[in-house]
Amino acid sequence: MYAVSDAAGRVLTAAYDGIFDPTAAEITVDTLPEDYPTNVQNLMTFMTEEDFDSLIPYQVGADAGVPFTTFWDFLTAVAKAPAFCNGVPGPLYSRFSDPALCAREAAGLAATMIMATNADDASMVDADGNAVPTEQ
Amino acid sequence: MSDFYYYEALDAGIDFTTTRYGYRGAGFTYGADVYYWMSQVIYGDNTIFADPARLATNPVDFWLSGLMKWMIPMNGLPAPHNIMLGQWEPSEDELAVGLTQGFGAVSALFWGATECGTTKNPKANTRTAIYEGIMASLAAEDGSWTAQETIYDWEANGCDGVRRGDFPLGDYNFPQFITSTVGNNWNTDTINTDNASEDGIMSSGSYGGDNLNNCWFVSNPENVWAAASGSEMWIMWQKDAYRNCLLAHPRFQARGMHATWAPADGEDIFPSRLEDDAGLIYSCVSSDNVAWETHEPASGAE
Repeated sequence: MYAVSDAAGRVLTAAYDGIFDPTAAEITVDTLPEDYPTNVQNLMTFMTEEDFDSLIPYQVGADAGVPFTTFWDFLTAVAKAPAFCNGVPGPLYSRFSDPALCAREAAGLAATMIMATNADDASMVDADGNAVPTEQ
Repeated sequence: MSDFYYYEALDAGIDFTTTRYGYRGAGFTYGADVYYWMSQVIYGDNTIFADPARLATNPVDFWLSGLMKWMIPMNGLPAPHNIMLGQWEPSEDELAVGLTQGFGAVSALFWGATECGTTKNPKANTRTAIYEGIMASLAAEDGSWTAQETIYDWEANGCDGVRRGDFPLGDYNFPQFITSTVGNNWNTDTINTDNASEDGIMSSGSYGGDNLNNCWFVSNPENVWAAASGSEMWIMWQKDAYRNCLLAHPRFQARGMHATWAPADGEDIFPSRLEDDAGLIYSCVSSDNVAWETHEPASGAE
């Protein structure tokens, strides 16, 4: 039996959570809820397509900065990161429910991405000159 | 671009005259090294490395750029996912600069050197306000939970209380890259042996620095490449990274390798066919997975 420090245990958990799944199926408007992976199910307990569109105003819509990507594209990406919204919490947070921790994590991601894609400035472009508002 | 990524790009047939690794995607991915490892972690191949513009044109990869940055600890630092879920707890050094649990540590992770340590940075304040606004709005329909209740009193949503500067190295600062070949220069200053697993074993033996048995965790792909150009490299966050390193190891590619396996039910074993050119004998396990058998080469057997 091996013993590891608390810190090493948390890092090992992080290693487990960091694995992506490139084979995860695409999620579309037609995907049945029962076919959603667990992390997407957690996310969908509190987030709708309408919520998403209002949070990321410059990622969707004909006049927005990035009209090519949608809520369903976002969910497809989430499905490929199985531990996002379904991670193994550290000891301090293990008493909270999975959806509550998912909400906490999704709020942090949304705040980070909104700032990174700069919803305040739709005129910014990416390295290729495409309309992807971005910080830096 | 360092030699490691340069030659990986050459192997992938990437045209440097037209390929740029500039800021793209929801994670504002930047730099050949970040693109390379993102490609390996998410797709297990060079999909993104060979076509970095996908982060601006592929609607799923655009978000994966952000999720990669959110989920994967890089450069010896925790990832935001680790911070938000308590897989990171501040060390003494981190506490000393004002870091504590909470979303403020995520801001400090990425923008500690430019936005933290003040209450007057508009970007940091806007990010904190967005986070707090979303958190206040999220709750279960049946009232069983609220997002707000996951924030402890001692957490910090902003980074104004964190001393301005780079995020300190802590528990996540360890070798993250895996390789089977480090060459014979292991004992030179080229490679920092303090940051490699079992370096004592690596530096001993009649083969000098050759690695005859295992794959090793190292801290720096560029240094390993400098000592042993052509080394294959994996990152520990990549699916099956250590397994794939072992499978690519010369030890597992030698025909004379001793192997054990269980034949399927009803399958016969012909020991002579298990012989290799050098006449080595393979050990087998019976189909009921209980009795171990050693098969001698049967002279003249078909």
